Amino acid sequence: MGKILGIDLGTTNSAMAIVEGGEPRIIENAEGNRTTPSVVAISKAGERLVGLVAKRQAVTNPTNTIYGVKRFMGHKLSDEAVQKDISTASYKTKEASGGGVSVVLGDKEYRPEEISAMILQKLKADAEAKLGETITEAIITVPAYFDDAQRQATKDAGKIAGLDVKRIINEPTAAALAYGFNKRKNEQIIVYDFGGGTFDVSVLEVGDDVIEVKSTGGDSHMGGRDIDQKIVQWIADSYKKESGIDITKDSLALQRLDEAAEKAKHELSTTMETEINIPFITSDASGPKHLLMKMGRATLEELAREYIDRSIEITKQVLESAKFKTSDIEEIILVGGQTRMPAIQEAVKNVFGKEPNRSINPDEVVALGAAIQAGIMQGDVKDVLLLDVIPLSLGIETMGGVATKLIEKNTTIPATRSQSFSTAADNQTSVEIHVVQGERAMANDNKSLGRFILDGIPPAPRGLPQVEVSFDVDANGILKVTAKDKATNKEQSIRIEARSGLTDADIEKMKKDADMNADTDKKSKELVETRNLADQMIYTAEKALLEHGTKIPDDVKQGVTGAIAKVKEVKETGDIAGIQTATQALSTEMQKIGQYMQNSSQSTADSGQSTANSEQGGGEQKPPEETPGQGPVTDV
Amino acid sequence: MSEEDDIVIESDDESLEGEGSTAEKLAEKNKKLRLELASSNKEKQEYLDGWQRAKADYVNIRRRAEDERQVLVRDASKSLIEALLPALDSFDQAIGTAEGSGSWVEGIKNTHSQLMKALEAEGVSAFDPLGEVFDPVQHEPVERVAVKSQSEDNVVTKVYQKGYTLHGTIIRPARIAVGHFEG
Repeated sequence: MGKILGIDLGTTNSAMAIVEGGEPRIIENAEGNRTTPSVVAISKAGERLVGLVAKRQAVTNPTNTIYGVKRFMGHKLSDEAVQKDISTASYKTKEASGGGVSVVLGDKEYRPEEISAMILQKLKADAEAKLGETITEAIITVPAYFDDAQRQATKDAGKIAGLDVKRIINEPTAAALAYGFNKRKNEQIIVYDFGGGTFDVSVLEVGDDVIEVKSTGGDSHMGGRDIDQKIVQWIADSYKKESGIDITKDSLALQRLDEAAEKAKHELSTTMETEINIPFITSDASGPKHLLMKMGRATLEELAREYIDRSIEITKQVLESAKFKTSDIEEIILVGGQTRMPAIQEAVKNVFGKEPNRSINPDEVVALGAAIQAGIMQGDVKDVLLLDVIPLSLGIETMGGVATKLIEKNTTIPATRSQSFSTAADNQTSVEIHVVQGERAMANDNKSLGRFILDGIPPAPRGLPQVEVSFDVDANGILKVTAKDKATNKEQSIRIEARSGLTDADIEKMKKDADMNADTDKKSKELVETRNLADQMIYTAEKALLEHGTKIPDDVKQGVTGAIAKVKEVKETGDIAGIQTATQALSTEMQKIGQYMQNSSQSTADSGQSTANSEQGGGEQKPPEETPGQGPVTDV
Repeated sequence: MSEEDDIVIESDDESLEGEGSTAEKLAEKNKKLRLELASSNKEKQEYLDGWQRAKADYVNIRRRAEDERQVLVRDASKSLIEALLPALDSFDQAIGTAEGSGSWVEGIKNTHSQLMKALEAEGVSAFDPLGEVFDPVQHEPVERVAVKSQSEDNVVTKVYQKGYTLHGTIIRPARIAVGHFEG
């Protein structure tokens, strides 16, 4: 049972996708591109070309380059639409037996299904090369208005290409699947598809796991290319005014113009003005000529206006024929590269009064939807396998009141994370695990989920015991927190419903709060960390004084004691820099102890001076020299 | 075996009551349990299978992500280089239409050379396919030019823009005019 390929077999461009690890993903073709032009050609040398290579040589090989063959699939030659297309096609067509269309490629005639099969064959081969496995099954998308004959023709094309087409699904339905709208209940969705060569709009109704196409409409000869042509004409006209030269007569100049026009159009989606710069566009008696002009977004929108208006008109008609009002529509989906144009997004928004969905790449959304359908059929998308994510980070409160995250927000569950912690004070025999949820840096600012205590930790200097804290969230969002002392293997745990009581709105608010307070939180955390470091330094210094106090001279001792006092004083304030300076000063004083010890041991080596070993640090803190197997104090 | 693992057969199981001998009822119960077991086994196998596939998918995705990352690192400069190509074309045009060979023209040539050297160090290479047989992969024909002999048919007669490769892969085909002989 291999993977099923999801294929968007478009009029101008095709794309393919597959479900991997539960997610749909576009597969690049052999050239490394995510879409493949739906063009097939025969070169003069008799070589068959498919895709970008075929498109590139179209200009000089017009009779043997077949494009837009989707327009003939399942149609009769006598159909009015077909007759129109034939008259503008650069390649020859004939009537096939049975009334269908056949195209002439080289010295042979082919049915449109056979040409489409060549495109599918390339997609299949490229997918197999990328994935390293054989592909024998596919889901192919078709326009919602395709009739039975056209759907059958598409299935046949798949069969010829060696693909068992498990299902033919409608393009707007695929788009809805890609956005997960198949899960909605009783909603109406508009899919607005403005592609390179065609415009399609459909009204879908979703409910009970079924997506129904209520009405559909469009213009199969209106697309982004028309806008490109208008831009080219505008540039050429402007240039003619300025220089008197008609550059459309020059084939190279025309190609460069075409390229520049498309580039300008793309740029104007994100900027208000763009520069069209083509040096050495042509030459005349006075020498080489250059094209340099500016184009504003307003000009582009003017050029595109008639197409945008027409698309909105058709959209309104389709809505009417489904007997819906604009207010009945819950979601709008944008499909097709041309919908990246801000003017189109605005126009659609104005009709429905809500933002259209465009977060999924509009060139790829249909192929992704086809892959999702494949995934559903293969059981990749079983309900039990629809994994959730935890919406907010989970962690515990650590020294100084800091919230230490153990599982980051948006982690897919089930998940387990563990981390080792230690004690904050000497002889601390129990730890309190305070479980918190949220994004704030300080535990108090987060939501408290629960607390428990693990005791029975053998007395030891701070930082020595190792307590492993594990967070385990199961597929239902139930959190189990376990704390285990590695020395004794004693453990304690708590079970929490991590999501109880929080609505989506609550979660959003918590995230927003964290963002807004990010700076102050950062400072708070820094202060805590600086203080913790200062504490550590004081602890080490006091311990050193205790151990070596009698061996070092008074002035060194006083230097350290003084520095310790200074740190203790500054620690109470919120002056981070001050604490750091005092801590650093203490560290410097402490080094003098070490230096002195070094020097004195060298100079007193032969004098055999016995240091006061008898004076062990008695009282509260007994150095653990007798206990075997314990290492030095380690910071966690 | 803890209590949870035991399959509990309640002693007041109704299926053991009513008409028919105890043996018959036990046989019935036996059959029912066998069916349940078969069904559970099937489900178990399904889950195991799904789990193994998920793991395999994960391993494959990791491997592919690493492969893609290496390609990305190697071709990181690709989009910058592609953006520079029109400027390189302009340089070629400028040099091609230069009048005379004064120091200014010299300067332009040297500047172009500087740019090309820097790009070559990144793995970029230019190619000029004049006179070669037309190859749709390497060449983009913008014009068809009538030629007088068979030998010039399907041959590159003029190079408008050079083609460029990055680490041996074509990133921009050469824009050419191709000869067309009608015999």
